[in-house]
Amino acid sequence: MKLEVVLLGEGLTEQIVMPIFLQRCIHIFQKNTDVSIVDFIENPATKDSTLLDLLRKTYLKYSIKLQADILLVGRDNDNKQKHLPHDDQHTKKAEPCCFFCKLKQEIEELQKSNWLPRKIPTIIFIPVEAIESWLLYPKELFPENLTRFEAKNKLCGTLRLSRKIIEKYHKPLAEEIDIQALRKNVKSFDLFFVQLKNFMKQRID
Amino acid sequence: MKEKKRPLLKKFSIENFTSIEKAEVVLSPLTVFIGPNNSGKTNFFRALDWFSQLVSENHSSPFAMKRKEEGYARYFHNFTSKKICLTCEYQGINNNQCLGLEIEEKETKITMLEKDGNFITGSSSSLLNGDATGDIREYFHHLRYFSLLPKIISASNNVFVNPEISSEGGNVTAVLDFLKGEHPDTFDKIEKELKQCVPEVERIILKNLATNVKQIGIKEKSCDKPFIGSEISEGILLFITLLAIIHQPDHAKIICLEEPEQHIHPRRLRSILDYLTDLAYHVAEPLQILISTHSPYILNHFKDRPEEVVIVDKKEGKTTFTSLLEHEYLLQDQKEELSLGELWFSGLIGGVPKP
Repeated sequence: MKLEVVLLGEGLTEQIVMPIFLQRCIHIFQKNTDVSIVDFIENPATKDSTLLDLLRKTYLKYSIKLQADILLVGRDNDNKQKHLPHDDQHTKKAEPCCFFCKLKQEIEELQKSNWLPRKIPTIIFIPVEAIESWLLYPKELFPENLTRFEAKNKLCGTLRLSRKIIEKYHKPLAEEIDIQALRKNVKSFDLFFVQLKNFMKQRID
Repeated sequence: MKEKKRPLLKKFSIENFTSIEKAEVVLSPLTVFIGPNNSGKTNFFRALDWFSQLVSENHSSPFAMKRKEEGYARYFHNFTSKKICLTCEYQGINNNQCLGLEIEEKETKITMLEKDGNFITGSSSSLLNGDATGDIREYFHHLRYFSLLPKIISASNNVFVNPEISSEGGNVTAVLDFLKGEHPDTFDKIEKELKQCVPEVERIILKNLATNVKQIGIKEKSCDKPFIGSEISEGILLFITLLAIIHQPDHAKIICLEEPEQHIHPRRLRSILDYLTDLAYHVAEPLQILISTHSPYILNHFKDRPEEVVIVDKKEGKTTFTSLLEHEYLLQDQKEELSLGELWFSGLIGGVPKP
């Protein structure tokens, strides 16, 4: 079975790493489902508002013109001083307290709107500081405490990433990392996993 | 105010030409083509140029295809199709015309469809020698394709009578020298327009290197020593060339220009675009301008003019053309934060390299 996915992310690292994580997590629930990335929407800016705008437009495109099974949307939580790591105990406030909540609220509003002919199930991924924080466990016991500079340096010894570096360091780790151990130790990954679990549960049911 | 009727190539259709299996592209007075490398933007220009060559004996074609020397086979889609069809819808001042070419390995047939719906088919010589196609032939005779190279522009030139700028920018010095001698008002106009766009320039210099050999230079206000040839900034060379193309004798009526943003500072692109917009819309004898670009800054200027943007993609080896109008629902989103250039970069409207 094929799962057609639209990926809305920041750049090459997400483009290489996220399909691997997605495929591996989905295989936990359904062995015969293969992920197919039908479109990669690249976020050209780092402003929150830009990503929200892209999200709305991606919804429009995949609700009106095209079809996909699932939308994967995310970005790095670049500055944890400004953006608290999401806590699932967060109460829903009028003004969302972290970017995960902000995205969630936007998605809920889009899902509620009557004018979209199709609703696309959407999964959020917001790694703390950088997606490298999902790849450093168990080398680093608390990877979400690192800055993105520290995380990148620890993972591949350089901040100057290229496709060659990502395929050499990031890709094998994403293919081999212990998913269940990662869930226990990296909260932002667990948040991603739980959403996927719910999606797969509904799909299988 | 009712717009004055002007000659215009309104639609160009292509079948089985190189990467283009079937396409119909609606053109505006100024049309910008965006798309990844190798998507087929230049193939569109090449097809137009070939059409121009076949219907008007336009000998300045950079893509001149001589059947005897190389054959046409390499231009057939996938090397397998039997027939290339090129059709153009033309708005003339007095009437509209539709002219089509069917090109087979051994012969070229021309079909002309006039507004009343009558088809006339015949060999190229029988139809093109008639008066009916005069306007369209005249229009296509003045199609010019440019992919400018600063090294060619800055090289020394032999000067001669009635020179013409080549597709890579050769002969710019010769054209400027000819204009300075024979049409000094036009030369002054070029200098004035250059100074408007690049205020630091004082004047254009045509330096004598030997008998009948000259090289382009500029004198800047803040520097006593002039800059000659390759010492000139590549952006300024491009500006001068653009001005010379527009003002050269027997000047172009349709200009296909590849990536005018090359060597130009993003802020100065505004001047280039303003100039191209004026030429396409706001002069007594407007030109039709088709440009290809990889610059999101250029695209940003077309946010409220989606009918002027054509998105080029390649799917399974075949070039596709889509008007930005088809994505208008994305542009109308009231909450929008993204510029058109950013929207293009994101991939939502297509025209990006495949992951």
